[in-house]
Amino acid sequence: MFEVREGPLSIDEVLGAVTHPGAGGVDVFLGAVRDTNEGRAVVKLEYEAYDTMAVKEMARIGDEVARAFPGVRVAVQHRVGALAVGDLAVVCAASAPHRGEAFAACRALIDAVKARVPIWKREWGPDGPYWINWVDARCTGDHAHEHG
Amino acid sequence: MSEPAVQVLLFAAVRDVVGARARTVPVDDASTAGSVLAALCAMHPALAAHVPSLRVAVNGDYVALDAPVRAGDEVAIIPPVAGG
Repeated sequence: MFEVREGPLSIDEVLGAVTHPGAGGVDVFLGAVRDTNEGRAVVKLEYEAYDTMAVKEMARIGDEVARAFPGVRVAVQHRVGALAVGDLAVVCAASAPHRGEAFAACRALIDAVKARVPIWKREWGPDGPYWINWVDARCTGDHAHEHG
Repeated sequence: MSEPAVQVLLFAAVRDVVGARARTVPVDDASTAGSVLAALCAMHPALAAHVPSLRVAVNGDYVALDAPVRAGDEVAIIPPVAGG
């Protein structure tokens, strides 16, 4: 399962996609919305995806992880739209015969999802909205506000 | 018949800079991901400073800037991602 959806994620669905009789270890990573980012209060937050490519890239990552860790099954759900503090933004799961591969595969999965899947996050702080990881070209870095 | 062109999808901060969700860019037999990006920057100079942080996808795959782009391809400009 590799899915981008509006609305709440389902841990049960993601788990259901990886559990099977040969899977003695199942690892789950939950990514939730924090109330602060780099010292700034987060009032609200929105995720946007290039949906078709996001699903394609997640599936490609899943294939790579499955090749790197034989016997592993993985699944990912990522949420888009408006989220509140505490909401789940991403659910990743990996199953394997034993816990070692399950932990390693789950870590590899979430790290690759964060680095490669075309999903963007816009936070609203006290000073208004800003896109995470986007450096404003007008911003020279020689003034007071914090830079990521 | 219309001129050969590609639809360039714009997301997140790139969409904000350009002020549109997509732009049509003309292409020819020599067009590449890099030339499409350069054409977009010529149309929207504010984008040029961001080029080092941008990736280009063609038909849903990340490509190198020298990858060919042909009429009808779906091209997307991918600003720094922030999922998870």
